[in-house]
Amino acid sequence: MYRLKSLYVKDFRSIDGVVDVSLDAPIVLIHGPNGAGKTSLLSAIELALTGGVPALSRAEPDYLAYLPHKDRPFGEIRLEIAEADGAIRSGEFRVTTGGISGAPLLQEPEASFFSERSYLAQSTLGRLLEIYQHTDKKSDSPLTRFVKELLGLDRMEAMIGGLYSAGNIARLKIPVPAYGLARDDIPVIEKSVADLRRQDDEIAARLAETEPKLRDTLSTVDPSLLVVVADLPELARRLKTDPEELELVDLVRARRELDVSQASMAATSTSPGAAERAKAEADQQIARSNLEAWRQSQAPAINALLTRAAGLFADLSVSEEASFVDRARSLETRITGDLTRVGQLISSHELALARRNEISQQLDEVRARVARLDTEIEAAAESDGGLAEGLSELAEHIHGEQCPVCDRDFSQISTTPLHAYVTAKIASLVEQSGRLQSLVQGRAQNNAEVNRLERELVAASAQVVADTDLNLLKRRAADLSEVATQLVQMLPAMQSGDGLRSEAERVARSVIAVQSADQSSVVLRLSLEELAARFDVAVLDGMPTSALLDAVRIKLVEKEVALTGRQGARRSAIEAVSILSQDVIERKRLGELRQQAEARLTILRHQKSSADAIIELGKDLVRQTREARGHVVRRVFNDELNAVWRDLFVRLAPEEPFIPAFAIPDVGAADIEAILETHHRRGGKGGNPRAMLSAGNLNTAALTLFLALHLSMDAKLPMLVIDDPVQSMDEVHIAQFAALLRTLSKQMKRQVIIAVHERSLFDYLALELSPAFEGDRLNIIELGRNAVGQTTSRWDPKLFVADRAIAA
Amino acid sequence: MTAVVPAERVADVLVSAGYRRIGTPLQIAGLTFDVAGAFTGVDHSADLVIIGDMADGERKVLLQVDGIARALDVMRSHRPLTTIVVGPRPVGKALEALAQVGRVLAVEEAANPADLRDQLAILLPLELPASLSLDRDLGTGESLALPDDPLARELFEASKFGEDSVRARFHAAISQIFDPGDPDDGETV
Repeated sequence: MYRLKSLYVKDFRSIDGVVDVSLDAPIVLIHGPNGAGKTSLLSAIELALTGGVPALSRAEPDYLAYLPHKDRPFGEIRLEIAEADGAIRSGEFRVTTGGISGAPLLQEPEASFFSERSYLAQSTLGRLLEIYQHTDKKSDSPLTRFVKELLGLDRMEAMIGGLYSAGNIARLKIPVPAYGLARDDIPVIEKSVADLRRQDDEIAARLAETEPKLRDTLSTVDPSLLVVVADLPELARRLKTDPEELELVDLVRARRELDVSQASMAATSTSPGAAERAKAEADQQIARSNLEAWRQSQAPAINALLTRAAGLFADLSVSEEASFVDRARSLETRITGDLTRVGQLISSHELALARRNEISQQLDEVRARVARLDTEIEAAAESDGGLAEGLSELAEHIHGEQCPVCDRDFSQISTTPLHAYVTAKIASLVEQSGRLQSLVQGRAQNNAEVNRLERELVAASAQVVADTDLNLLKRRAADLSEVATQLVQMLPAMQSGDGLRSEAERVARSVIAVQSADQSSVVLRLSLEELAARFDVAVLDGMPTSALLDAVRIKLVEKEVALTGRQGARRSAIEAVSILSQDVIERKRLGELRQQAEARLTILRHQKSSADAIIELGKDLVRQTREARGHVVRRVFNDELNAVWRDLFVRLAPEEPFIPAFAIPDVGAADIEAILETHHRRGGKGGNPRAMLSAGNLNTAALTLFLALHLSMDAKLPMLVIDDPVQSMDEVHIAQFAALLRTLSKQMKRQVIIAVHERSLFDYLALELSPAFEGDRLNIIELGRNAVGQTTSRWDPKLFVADRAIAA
Repeated sequence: MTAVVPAERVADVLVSAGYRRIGTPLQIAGLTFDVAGAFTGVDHSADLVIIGDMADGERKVLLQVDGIARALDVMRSHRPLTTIVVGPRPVGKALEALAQVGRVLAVEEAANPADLRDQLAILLPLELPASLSLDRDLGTGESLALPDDPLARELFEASKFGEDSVRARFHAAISQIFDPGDPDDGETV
C-alpha cells in the first residue's frame, strides 16, 4: 500500500520559504486562508509523484516556467512515500524557470491514475463533467476511456476492432486488394464472355450465308472442286493453281499477233504495187541528179553567205541539217534585231551630244548672273541692319533737338527735326537691309540652278559614246544591212535547193516502201492461217485475208469472254474461301478466349464466395462480440457503476430527486460511449446532469463521479488528494461530505489529503475526522503568511483519545 | 421491517448497519437527555446518532440536541453528532440551530424503506458491488457461440493478442483465398 509520508517544499509556486510537513496519517487536513499555498502544496505532491501538473497545464501550457516562486532562482520539492512493503522512497525535484529536474516516484499507468483518478484539483472540480465528456471526435472522451479501462474488455475490443473491415467491403480495399479486384473483375469478365458469345454467333451466321454461295461459284468454276469444299486450305490451294491461266496468256498473245497482222495488212494495201517499183526507182534517179546540179551551181555562194552571217554573231550556231530557208530566216531575224539595237545606240548618242551643248550654254548664262548678284551684294553689304536696331532703340531717348549721343543741337545743322531725321535714317537702313536679304536669296537660288545644270551635264556626257566605239557600231550597222540584203536576194535560190532536197528524200522513201510491201503480204497470210488452225477456225479455199482475219478475231473474242468469266468466278471463289478461312480461325480464337474467360470467372466466383463466407464469419463474430460486450456494459453500468455513483451521490445530496447516471448503451452498439443522464428517484429518465441539476448538486454529481470512478478500480493507489471541494457547498452538504470522507478513509482505507480554507469547515472536519480508535491519526497542517508575506506552516498530529462522554 | 413507530424503523436500519443502541434516556456527563433513540458507531466510527421525534415537540428536540452537544463539549468528546429528525422537517432557525451542532438528517415519517435508506445513506457503510473487479472479457467472463470453422477459433484465440493480431489473421485468411500459394496458412479454404 502506497502511503505519503512527508513533504518538503521550498519556494514553489505561491509558497515563499520552506514548508516541511508530515503526511503520515490516514487523513491529512490542510487549512489556510485563500492564497496561503494549499493548492501549491498539493501541486507539489502531484509533481513529485508524476513529474507534471496536468491540472495546471489545462490553464497554462507553459506552466513549468512558473513553478518556482516569483523572483526565486529555483524551487525544491522532496516527497517521501512508503511502498506497499513498507520501504521508504524519496522523490526530489528541483524546479527552475527553465524546467524541472528529478525523477517522479510513480511510473505509468500509476502516474496517470493518480492525476486522473486520485487527485481532484480545485480548478478541475467545477469543470469535471465538462472535462470528462469532452471529445474532439477523433478519440474517446476521458469518461469513455475510464469506462473502457474499467470494463477491461480488451479481447472484445480486439475482436471488434480487428474485424472492423468485415463490416464494409470498402474497408478491405487496402488490406486485401485481391478481394476488391475480384469483385470488380467478375462483372467485367461476365460482360466479355457475353461479348465473345455474341461475336461467335455473328460469325456463325456469316458462315451459314457464305458457304452455299461458295458452292454455287465452285460449280461454275470447276465442279470437281466441290469434293474438297470442307478442306478450305486445300480448296484455296487448288483454286490458286489455275490451269486456264496459260490458256489465257496464249489467247492474249494470239490477239496481239492478230493486231499486228491487221496493221501490216493495212500497210500493205496502201503501199504501191510491185509494178510501180521501176518508176519509183527512175524518179529517184532524176531527183538525185537535180539536187546534185543545184549543189554545184548555187550552194557555195549560199553557204558562204550563211557562214558570213553566222560569223556576225559569236553565240549563234545553226544546224547544217536545217533547210537553207530556215537558216536564212533565223539569221535574218537576228540581224534585224541587232540593226535596231545599233541604230538606237547611235541615235541616243546624237541626242546626248545635242543636250550637252544646250546645257553648257545654260550653265554659262546662270554663272554670269551669279557673278552680277555677287557684285550687288558686295555693294549692299555696307549698310547694316544692326545699326538700324541700335538707332531705333536710341530714338526713344531723343527728346527735342539735342542729340543724346553728342549733346549737340541738331537744329544748328539742319532744319529737319532730329527725331524725323533719325526715323528717316532708320527707314533707309531697314530698306537697304531688306534688299540685301533678297539678293542673298537670289544668289542661293542661282547657285542651286548651277549645281543642277552641272549634274545634268555629267549625265548627258555619260550618254555620249566614245569615238572608237562609235566607229565600230557604224561599221557593224553597215555589215548587217549588207548581209540582210543579200539574204533576201538569195532566198529564191535557197527555196529551190530545199525543194530539190526534200523531193529526193521523198522518192527514196517511196522506193523502200515498195520493196518491203512485197514480202509482208506473204508472211501475213501464213501467220493468219497458223492462228486459225490453233483456234479451230475453218479456213475456206480462196477466203480473202481480211475475212480470215475477222473470223479469227470473232473466235478469239468468244474464247476470251468465256475464259474471263470463269476467271472472275475463280477470283470470287478465292475471296470467299479466304473470308471463310479467316472466319473459321476467328471462331476458333474466340472460342479459346471464351474458354479462358469462363475458367477465370469460375475461379473468381469461387474465390469471392469463399471470401464472402469469411467476411460473413467475421461479421457474425463482430455481432456476437458486440452483443456480449453490450450485455457486459449494461450489467456493469447498471449494477455496478451506476449503483456506486448513486450510493455516493445520495449520501451527499439525499434531497435531490434526480440521480446522475451513465446512460445504458444499446446492446450491439458499434462502440462503447459513456454518456451521462439522470434518473428520477421514482423511476423515469431525465436529461444530462448539466441540464437537470442545480450548480451545487452538479458539483456533488461531479465529485461523486470522481469518487465512484476512483472506487471502481482496484485500489492501485489508495489515496485521495482533494483540493477545497466544498467551496460551493452549503452546510448540509458539508456535513454529509465530512461523513463520506470518514467512510472513505476508515472503511475504504484511502489515505485522504484534503485542503480547506474555511475556518468553520476546518473545525467541523477536524472534529468529524478525529481519530476514532487506537492507532488512528489525523494530521493537521496550517498554512499562513507572516508580516512580510513569507509562508508559515505548522503541522500537528491528533492522536486517538478515548471518549469519556459515552462509554464505548 | 415491521416497526410501527417511525423512530423504530430508523433504529432498525441503524442497528442492522452495525450501530450499537444506547439505552434511553441518554446520559452524558451526569445529565439525562430524553431522545427517541441514541446510537454509537462501532469499530472505526465514533459517531453519536440520536433520533429526535418532532412529535415530542420541536422545542424539546432542539433543547435536547443542544444539551447533548454542550455535554459532549464539556467532556471534550470528539464524537461527531448526528441528529435524525423524525416527523415534520425542521426549517429556518430550527434547522440552523440543529445544523450548528451536528449533522441533521430529516427522514419525515420514514414510511418508504428505500427512501429511508437513501436518507440515512451517509451513516451506512459503503458497499461496493462484489463483481466490480471481476474479469468480464472473452474467454473468462464471456464467450461466443463460435461457428464450426477453424478460422473462428483462430480469430477467437487471436483476440488475446490484440486488435492487430485479429486483423492480421482475418486479412490473411481472405488474402490466402486469392493467393493459395501462401505457405503460411495452409488449412483454410
